[in-house]
Amino acid sequence: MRTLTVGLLAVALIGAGLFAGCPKAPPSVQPPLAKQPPPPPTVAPAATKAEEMPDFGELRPAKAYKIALIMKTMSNPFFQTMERGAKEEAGKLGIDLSSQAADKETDDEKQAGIVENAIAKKVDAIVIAPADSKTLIPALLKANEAGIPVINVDNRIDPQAAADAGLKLVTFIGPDNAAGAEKAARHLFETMGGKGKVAMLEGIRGVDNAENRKQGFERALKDFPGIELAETQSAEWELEKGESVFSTMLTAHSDITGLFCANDMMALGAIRAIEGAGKKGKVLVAGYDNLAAAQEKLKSGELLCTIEQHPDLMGAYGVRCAVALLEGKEIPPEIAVPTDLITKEGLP
Amino acid sequence: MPLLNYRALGMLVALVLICGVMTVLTSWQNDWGSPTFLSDVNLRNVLLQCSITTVAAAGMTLVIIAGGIDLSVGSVLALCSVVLAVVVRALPGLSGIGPGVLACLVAGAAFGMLNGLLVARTGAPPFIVTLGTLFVGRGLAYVFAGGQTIHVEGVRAGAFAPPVLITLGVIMAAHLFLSLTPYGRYVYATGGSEEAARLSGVPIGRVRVLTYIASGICAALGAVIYWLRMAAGNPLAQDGLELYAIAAVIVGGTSLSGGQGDILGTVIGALIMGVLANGLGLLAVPDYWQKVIIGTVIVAAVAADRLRAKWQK
Repeated sequence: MRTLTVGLLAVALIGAGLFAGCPKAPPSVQPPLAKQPPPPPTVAPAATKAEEMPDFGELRPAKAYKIALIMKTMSNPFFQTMERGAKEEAGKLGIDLSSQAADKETDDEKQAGIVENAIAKKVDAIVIAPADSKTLIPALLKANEAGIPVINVDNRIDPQAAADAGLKLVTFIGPDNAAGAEKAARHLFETMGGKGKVAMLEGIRGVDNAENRKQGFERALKDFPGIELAETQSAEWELEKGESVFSTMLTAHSDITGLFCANDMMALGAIRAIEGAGKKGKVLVAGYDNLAAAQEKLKSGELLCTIEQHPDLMGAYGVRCAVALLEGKEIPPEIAVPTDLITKEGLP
Repeated sequence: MPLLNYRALGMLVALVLICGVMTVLTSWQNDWGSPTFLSDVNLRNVLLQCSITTVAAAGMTLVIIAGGIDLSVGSVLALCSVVLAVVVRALPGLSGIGPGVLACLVAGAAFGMLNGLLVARTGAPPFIVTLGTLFVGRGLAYVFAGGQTIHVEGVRAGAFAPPVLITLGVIMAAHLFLSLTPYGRYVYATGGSEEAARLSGVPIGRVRVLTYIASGICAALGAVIYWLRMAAGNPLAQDGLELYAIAAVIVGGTSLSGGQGDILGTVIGALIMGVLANGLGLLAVPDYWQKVIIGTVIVAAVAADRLRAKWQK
């Protein structure tokens, strides 16, 4: 008898938790025969030119489609912003959006479970920022088998691995890393007056976004003949490495006056190195990601500029593309979300 | 020995009730249509999603009954998963699968033996020893993997049967070991009263080492399941698994102070947590609240059990 209290207690708690945290039931008016979602179109593994965000005209969805937004984790502000963007768009379109994430950014098995649950719920489409670019493929294949279209945002599913496994993704919506880096680099070179020596700190070599940001930097460099590239090296996205690599660079080339870093963490490290070398104010630093810590350095003038990637637009566009697809529209295989240059002047 | 102890019986009732609640709520969610929770796909999902925790918890049950604890299981799983992936990748085509799985199991057993020997020979508290090896295992996993997920091609991952069959096999083996073999009885004796066990000739050290080897092998089998689900070896895999495994064991009625408990209770404990996580996920309860609810259930289960023991005196 007493053991029963345990069960009752547990159930009462679940009930209480559910009614506190659970969204309202979906609207009760539903057409008896829901339109079958069109089969997801095949995406060629070869990278196509990313398109700027298409408009799809005015979307008036025939029903409140159930869309699952699956993210890496909710403890990263990046994904909180992504969820906000998706929710606003879902509200505008009258969509039943449920967003979920694993508790840890790296817990891909938990995320695979969330995908499986979405399939069991028979959602109309899945929008996913995968925790890993390969390990989510088996779970997403199950969505393919169930005829649920999958839209990939933020972190790209490895196109080769997807093709090998026969996984079909509707589209990839991600930041245009090259364009963002080019913007930051141009602003840096212009502020330098179009002349002087620059250096670059790269991310982990061989990783998609690191390579694209380097390409953007190089593109900008071509247009500024007065700018000389002193050195470019990888600091593997890390703060400490940023500091150590850039102090070595400063020792080797004491006349460097500009630095582009492929992310803000490395830029923050480089700023420390500059201070350590007693060169505060003599080297202009451009970063990428618009972290809160980077904004402080923007205000103090130690960081020249950074790049905002707009996770809110990734979320919103994920939802918009899902609805457009379900309404029978053509979706481009790759969509680039615009990036913004953030400087001291642009801060609130 | 009864098939289930009284605590586990109470938990079985709780499990059934939770399933009932999830059925009703997911039906309500579908405008009183067919409940998502009871659908074929979802029941399979539940079994798949709690397979790794269940396997790790089975090994953990042996360790805890013998009076120990193993905090390293998540790290050992990650290390074994990397070993498996490295071996499979190094050999051509599918020929690496056999050696890969074997190497994975050997790595798990060896790491478990290391834990066991450190506990049995040095007399250091198991909590501290396995806390240390938790870091060592995770670190080694990163080293062998070069810090990255290793994708393993070849096998069609994501199937239902293999992970569930492995889980069932582990449950059966652990249950039979505990209830039918002399060493199974030694495990209870060692955890119950070490002094009494020693005096009656139980090889305590060997029993301890054996339980840790079992836990290591279970973690390695967890790595095999991880590979079957994700087609990869991952040094980041299952960080925090030890806590879920311990929770499943405790909710299932095994005493953390050793000497009592059983595998079937643990299975029920793992299912309770699996059903909760799955059901709350279906209901789109935010992850934060899922944690609050699951944590509350763990505390409520143990608290209620303590109160029951008090009343009975």
